[in-house]
Amino acid sequence: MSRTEDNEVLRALLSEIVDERAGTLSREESDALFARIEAAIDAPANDVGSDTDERAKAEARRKGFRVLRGGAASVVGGLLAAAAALFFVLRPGGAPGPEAPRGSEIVEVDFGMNAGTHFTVEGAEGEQLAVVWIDELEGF
Amino acid sequence: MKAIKHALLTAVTLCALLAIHAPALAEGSYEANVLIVLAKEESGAIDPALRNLSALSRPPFNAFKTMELLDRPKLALEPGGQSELVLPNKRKLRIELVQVLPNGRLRVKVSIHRPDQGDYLPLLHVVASENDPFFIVGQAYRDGTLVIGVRISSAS
Repeated sequence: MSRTEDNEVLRALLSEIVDERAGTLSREESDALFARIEAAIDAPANDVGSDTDERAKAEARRKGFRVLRGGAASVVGGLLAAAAALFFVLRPGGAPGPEAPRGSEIVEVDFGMNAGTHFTVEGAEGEQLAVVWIDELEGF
Repeated sequence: MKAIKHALLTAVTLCALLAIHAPALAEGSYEANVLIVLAKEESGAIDPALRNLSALSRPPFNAFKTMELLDRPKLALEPGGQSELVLPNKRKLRIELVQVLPNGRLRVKVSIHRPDQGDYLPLLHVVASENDPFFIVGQAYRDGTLVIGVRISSAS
């Protein structure tokens, strides 16, 4: 048996069942059934409309979050922060780090033809301050 | 989209301007605050302007019972540049700010030149923190000794 012949047999059986069932319905029951079917048909249409409205509102809200100016401001803010970091890194002293030691210290000294020495004295806050002492006679 | 492009262009331009000017700002300007003190061992007065320099009241400076502040000149300094001043004994004090180190300390070279003679101090190479002084002591002057203090600070 071909597929077309199968479909024909199935359609005939379903028609027979529907006719038989339809015959058992009263007029009131038949009207009530149609009313429910019409209501069901209308209801999805209203829901779809409502969904569409909601979707439109949600889309509008999303667009609100994607305001162009806000996005640009974030980019500008990020780049300015990077520029500020660059500026502070390039300042004397460089990036913030461990505190530099206080005081002064001698790296190298050339006394020339004189006799001299160097040492440190303590400053007001305990820092060591460098002193170079070169003796010299008056009128020399 | 056009607004984003405009904002990006503005931000990139600002960054470029800051990056260009940052090294120039990093150079900074400094000044050398020089104290020229005539110190004597004989009893006398300590200049009130020196009282806040506690280092001058500690040994061996406490051997000086008299301290007179002769001058307090300021010299402008730029990194890599040098400045000069004439001391009361006509010698020239030369100060060079060699480098501002990454930790903010200052590498400084100092020399004292005698006219028509060998240098009194050919070279003194110091690393100092900003506002922390170093001293050069010992030049004979007017029956006393010159105490020279040098303190480098940011020019305000």
